[in-house]
Amino acid sequence: MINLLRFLYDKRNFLFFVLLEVLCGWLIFTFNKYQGAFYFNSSSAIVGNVLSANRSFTSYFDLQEQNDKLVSENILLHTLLEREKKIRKIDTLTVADSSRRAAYEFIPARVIKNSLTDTKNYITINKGSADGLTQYMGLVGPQGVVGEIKYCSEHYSTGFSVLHVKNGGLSARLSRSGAIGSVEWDGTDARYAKLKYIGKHYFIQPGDTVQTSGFNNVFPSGILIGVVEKVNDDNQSDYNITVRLATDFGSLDHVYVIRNKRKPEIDSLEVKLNKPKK
Amino acid sequence: MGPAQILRYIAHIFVLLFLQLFLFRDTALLGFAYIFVHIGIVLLMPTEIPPIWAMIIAFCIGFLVDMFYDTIGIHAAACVLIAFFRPRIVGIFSVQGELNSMPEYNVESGGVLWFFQFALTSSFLFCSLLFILESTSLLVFFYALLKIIASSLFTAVFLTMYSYLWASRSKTKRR
Repeated sequence: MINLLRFLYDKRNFLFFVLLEVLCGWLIFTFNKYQGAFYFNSSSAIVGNVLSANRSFTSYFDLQEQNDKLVSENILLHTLLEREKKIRKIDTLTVADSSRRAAYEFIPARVIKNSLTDTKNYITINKGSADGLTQYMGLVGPQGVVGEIKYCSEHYSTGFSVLHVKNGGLSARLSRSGAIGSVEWDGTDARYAKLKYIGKHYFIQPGDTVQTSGFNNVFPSGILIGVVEKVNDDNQSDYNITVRLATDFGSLDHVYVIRNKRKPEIDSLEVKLNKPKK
Repeated sequence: MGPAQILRYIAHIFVLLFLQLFLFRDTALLGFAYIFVHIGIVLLMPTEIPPIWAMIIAFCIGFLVDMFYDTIGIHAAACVLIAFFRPRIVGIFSVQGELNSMPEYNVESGGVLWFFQFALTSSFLFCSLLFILESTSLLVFFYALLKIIASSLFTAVFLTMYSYLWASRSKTKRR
């Protein structure tokens, strides 16, 4: 018995090492696998405040670039507005139709933390549940799709960016052929992603634009994701398509959170459909 | 362990954590060479700190860094690993008996080349565990191998320069 205790005492460093590593393993599996990291991630109050202060200091360095981005987005929006006005002028009937009212609401926010270098990248923004944000809202930037919100604290939120392996993919449509696929990131280059599940009966060529399909009720349809860069026609049933992402994730600052006002209504319908019959 | 040494170690903690969290957090040379200067906090720890406490400090540092990277447990596991193997890694590159006189393992006590070998081996261990835990499939594994080699080299070079600057600073002070 004494010998056993002495043995344990001699090996105490090694035993403590094993104990700590097991603790780390437990932390990795509980907090990373199920993404339940609610208290210890960057949307928590303390880390959020530190990052926010850091960002408010560094944001002065790229003011010019951020301004240029916002101006070019404004130009685009003005153009769309003019086009819309022309269509309205032709329309002589005024229709009071609730389905024409805007279903999507945009909430402006700023990025306080963003990473490109992991295989699972997260974005933290400076708006939270106090500003009406909840889970599964879309995030878009001036250039295109950015990601999706996962957790909200009172004043901060954390979410997946598009640069996130194994997050189920982003439902996408090729604007020219109308083919529906899924944009997924492969964990290597932050500028490119893969477009999957596009059958070979479609004609695809580099330069085709890839937009959101609007199928998952997170993003409205027609928001730019990227442009087809390369089409590989290897021996599978689907194309192997590389998409150059529209958003420059390295210099992300201003983003908009998209709230779909009708998402609860649509979701409750789909839940009814999936309910097993008694 | 005099007060000057403790103060110097606290300065290491603050400087290296600041560099890692605010300057190098998203740094990736060529897109795959990362830098993890916070492992310097584990490597430059005074040798008089008992191994169990060294591992506890390493765990806390790793956990703090994890909170900023949203990777709870991964940096902590890797930091504890190098804290445990630190005396054994130093043992590879040194003659027996030489080590007992060192107050901490740095450029001043062992020389530039010696410290670089020590830092490179440690950061290789660190990066290996980190990227293997992070890589989710075998497809990403070979890319992770490239990241391990590039990152450990980058980190070791930086830490050697960092320790060299401290060494030259204390030399000029003595004169």
